[in-house]
Amino acid sequence: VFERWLADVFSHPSWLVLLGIVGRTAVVYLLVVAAMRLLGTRPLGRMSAYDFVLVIVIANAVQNALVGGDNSLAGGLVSALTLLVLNFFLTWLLDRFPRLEKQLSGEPVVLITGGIVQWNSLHREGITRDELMAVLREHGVAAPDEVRLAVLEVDGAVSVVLGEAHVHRTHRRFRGRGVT
Amino acid sequence: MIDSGLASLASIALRAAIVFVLLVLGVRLTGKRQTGEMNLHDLLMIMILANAVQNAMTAGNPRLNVAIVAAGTLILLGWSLAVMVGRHPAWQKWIMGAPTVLVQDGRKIPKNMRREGVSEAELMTAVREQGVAELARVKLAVLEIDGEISVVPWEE
Repeated sequence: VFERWLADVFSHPSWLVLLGIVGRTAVVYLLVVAAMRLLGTRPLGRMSAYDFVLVIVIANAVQNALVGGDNSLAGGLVSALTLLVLNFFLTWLLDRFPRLEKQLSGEPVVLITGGIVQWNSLHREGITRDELMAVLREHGVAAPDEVRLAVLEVDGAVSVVLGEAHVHRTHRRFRGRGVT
Repeated sequence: MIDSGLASLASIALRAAIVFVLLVLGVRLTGKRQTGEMNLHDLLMIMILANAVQNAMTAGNPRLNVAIVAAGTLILLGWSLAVMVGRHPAWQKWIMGAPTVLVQDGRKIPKNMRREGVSEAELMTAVREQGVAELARVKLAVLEIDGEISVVPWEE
């Protein structure tokens, strides 16, 4: 009985079926990565509830396609291994060829430099004046002229480097304006 | 397929345990530490990975007790892994990796950056996100085991 039990756990489909699972998983992976690139990293986008739901629904939608209705332990593990190896290969490729990474995920964009707002860059990235001001306020800054550098990073976050006044604490002028 | 209740549930537990161990190993071996926050792509990969092994754990059996046994096995294993790591901090290095110093006293450590696959652009993003514009202002930058780069600026 025990042997039959073990056989139930470890029985695996034919090699041809396993190979099919590798192929299915690879196709699904490539399609999903391509789809994610189309959706893009939303500027200023923290993960919204909508993004969250989308990800879970996509994952569920492709589930049966991955293993093709195969219920064996080996089938699932082969599929998982295929995913891990492909993802490893993709990140390796992006590391190896920085130009490819720039093509896929974009470059950081300077939004404010030396207190001057780069409106052209803002328009190009589809960021409104209100959104920019909201981000600055989140960093405890009230006006763009207090900002030395603001950059839209590739992950959609905006990083803000404050002016010298806040670092050296010499130019009290900036602090006296009633920001805090 | 064995239908006798207990044996079939035991086989579900064994399946879940094997999946757990192999996934922990697999992610540890192939997963380059993602720098910065988890993005949509990472989340999607995790969800798809979880779905890929779903039927392998439950044998495609939709019954409630099967689900409880599979989930319970995973929770138990996850908990014991956490306890083990807590008791033997040395094991943490093997299971989760160790933090790596990327910048010391304003100077990059190229060897460590190469080994961890952190690019110049990724490092500077992390530095800017801490409100610092130049590397010279960074006293210490460390790639933590959760993939986050923590940055300590010089006190002025």
